[in-house]
Amino acid sequence: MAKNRYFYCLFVMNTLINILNFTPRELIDARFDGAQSSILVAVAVGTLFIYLFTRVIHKFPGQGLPEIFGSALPKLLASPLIFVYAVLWYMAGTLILLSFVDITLRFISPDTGPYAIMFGFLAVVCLCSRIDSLSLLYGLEVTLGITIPLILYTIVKAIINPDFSWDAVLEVMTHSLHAPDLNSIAAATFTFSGYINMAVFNRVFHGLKLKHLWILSLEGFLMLLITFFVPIGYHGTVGIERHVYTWFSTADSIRIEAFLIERMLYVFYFACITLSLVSAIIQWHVGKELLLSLLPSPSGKPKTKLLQELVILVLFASGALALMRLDQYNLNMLGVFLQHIRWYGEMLMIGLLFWCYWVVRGRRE
Amino acid sequence: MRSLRGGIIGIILLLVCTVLAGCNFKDIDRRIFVVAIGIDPGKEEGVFKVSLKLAIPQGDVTKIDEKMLILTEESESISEALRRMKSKVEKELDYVHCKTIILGERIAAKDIRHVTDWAVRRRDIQSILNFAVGRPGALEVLQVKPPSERIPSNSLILAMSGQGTESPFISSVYSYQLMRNIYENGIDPILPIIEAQGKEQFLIDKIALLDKSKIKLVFSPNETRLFNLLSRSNLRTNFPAHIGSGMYQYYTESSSSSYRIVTNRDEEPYIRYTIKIRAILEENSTEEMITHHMLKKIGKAGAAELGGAVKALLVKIRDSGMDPLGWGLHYGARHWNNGTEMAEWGRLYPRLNFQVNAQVEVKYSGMIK
Repeated sequence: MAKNRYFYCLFVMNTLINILNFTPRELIDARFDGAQSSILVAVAVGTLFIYLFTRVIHKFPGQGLPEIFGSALPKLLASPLIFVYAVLWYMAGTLILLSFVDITLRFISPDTGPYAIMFGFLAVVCLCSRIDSLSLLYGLEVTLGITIPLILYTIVKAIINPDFSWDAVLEVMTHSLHAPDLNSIAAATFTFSGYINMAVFNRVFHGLKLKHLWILSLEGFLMLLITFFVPIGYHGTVGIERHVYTWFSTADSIRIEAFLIERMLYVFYFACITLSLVSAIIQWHVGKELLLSLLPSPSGKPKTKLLQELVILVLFASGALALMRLDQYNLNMLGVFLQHIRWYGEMLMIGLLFWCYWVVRGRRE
Repeated sequence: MRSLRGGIIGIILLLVCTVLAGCNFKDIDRRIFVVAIGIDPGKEEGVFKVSLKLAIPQGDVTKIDEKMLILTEESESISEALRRMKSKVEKELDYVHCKTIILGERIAAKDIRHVTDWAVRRRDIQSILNFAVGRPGALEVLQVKPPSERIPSNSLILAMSGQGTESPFISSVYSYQLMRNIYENGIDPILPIIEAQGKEQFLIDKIALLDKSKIKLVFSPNETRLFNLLSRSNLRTNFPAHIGSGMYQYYTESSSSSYRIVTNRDEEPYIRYTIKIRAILEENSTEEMITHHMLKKIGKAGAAELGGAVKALLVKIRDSGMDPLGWGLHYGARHWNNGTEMAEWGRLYPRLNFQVNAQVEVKYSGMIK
């Protein structure tokens, strides 16, 4: 049984990896028309989602999404839904891997072939996503313990740099008075969507109780501000639109004067790769568990289960390899599309969970 | 069961290993490191002359004897020149440790945006590399080899980064800053000028002001120092103070500067600069002992002199029409009428006046009175 603090770990993981790719890009694209107000809306919406979700999931101690849907919805409806969610989770993990292959190629090792990097990542992710949920949570906690100090160091170092252009940040602040923009909201709510992994991880939680919700919204809000404003301080209000991986370009612009390595890029890359691999592992674990629940359960036959997992993971891996043909712009479009779908999916899931709760309670009475 | 799982893991790991061996990773003894790049205009119009300064890796650190090599190639494009140069060396050229890009003065007088775009776009070139203008040309600057230097191009790196000498005349510009200021509205880029003086010495004490693309104005060393005083805090330098026929020099222990753009309706717009300096007396041309009263007087005289010099510099910047200190961006950042603020600023700028409030506080008279 997992303690409540692992829920916070899942949340923090998402707020940290949102720095990576799509969230800053979408927000920065809308910096002159509504990113700032979108951040505020996203904080409110994200907090509301977490609140509703934890309230309803509390009523289903020790049950994952398949068990809840299975008990309350007709099978004809439950199975396709579970399948769609599984694909969604799988795509989320794949997108992280694809972005990271691209980042590694650009910033770390231009000479290595993309497929070699992908194979390395896939080996780690496929092997680790088979580990049971509870162990994954423990692993996540340890990883956060290693990476949070590094990411904090990067952020502090970025902000205290005398060459950080506060005027550029203030200039973008004066563009705040705009109606929020849907793309930005969808991208920004990703910061708050770490809770959604509870769809499977709730199996190891028995009666999740959430204390101090405001800490989560404050943390998410601060991370969104940092995600959005720090790259602008480094690359200017206009120049920023020319950068592809804004946060990696920013880390590349920070110099460590007194340390073994001079470029902050490597520190930041190490923290990010660790975190995003763990995050991809968790996403694929959820995707795999959801798909497994659709297959006939091999009661007492570990060999069949192994075979099923193997088939799923091979499918996952070959899908990821096939998606490597996308170029930079296609990948970005897919990312934005997925951000939207994910957000609507979250809404739908919370709605469905309330519906399930209503059905189950009706039956009991 | 156990053995099956172990077997699968083993097979996958083996597969991964074969893939890794297949990629073209090169060991350090098959690489040669580019430490500085110089870009000049070529003989013909529209042709770049690209020079690379290469450091040759050596094993034993204690017995290092500086070995370097300069390659030069002319081509219409920078990348083409670099590819051609690959056939001039037997090892793979590695740009990861490149810390300086020198633009020949004639390139900087024409257009720097092409080179900047290339340097930022290249994925293996850092964003924290120094950009500078080379005089008379980039190649001449690359060829300078000070006798005190032990690692190729290290003298330039040390001088520009402030890790070695802390000269008040040197200001460094990283490529991300150059890129930022080229595209930003309301701030114009600057570049330090490195002059080659013979084969063994260089001089970095001037700044070039650019109007987004090319050099428009070059500051004298004194103006450069004042500019650095305004653009960064805690500049370590000395300034003079004259009282009667006596000349005093004070050393700035700490310095800071801030400004406010004041636009009242009933008076002309002006910028009020406040400069605060805490200083130590360093030189005294008279034979008199320094009293407390004298210390105050030196501070006052120094402040008046500094204020006058800074004001002259600010007027010169305004008359040049460029904005190296980012006043326009500062103005925009404090006004919410985003559609019109830059046009407003454009009308304001030529009419700007300046008030300089310099406060020099000489705290000590040094070791003797």
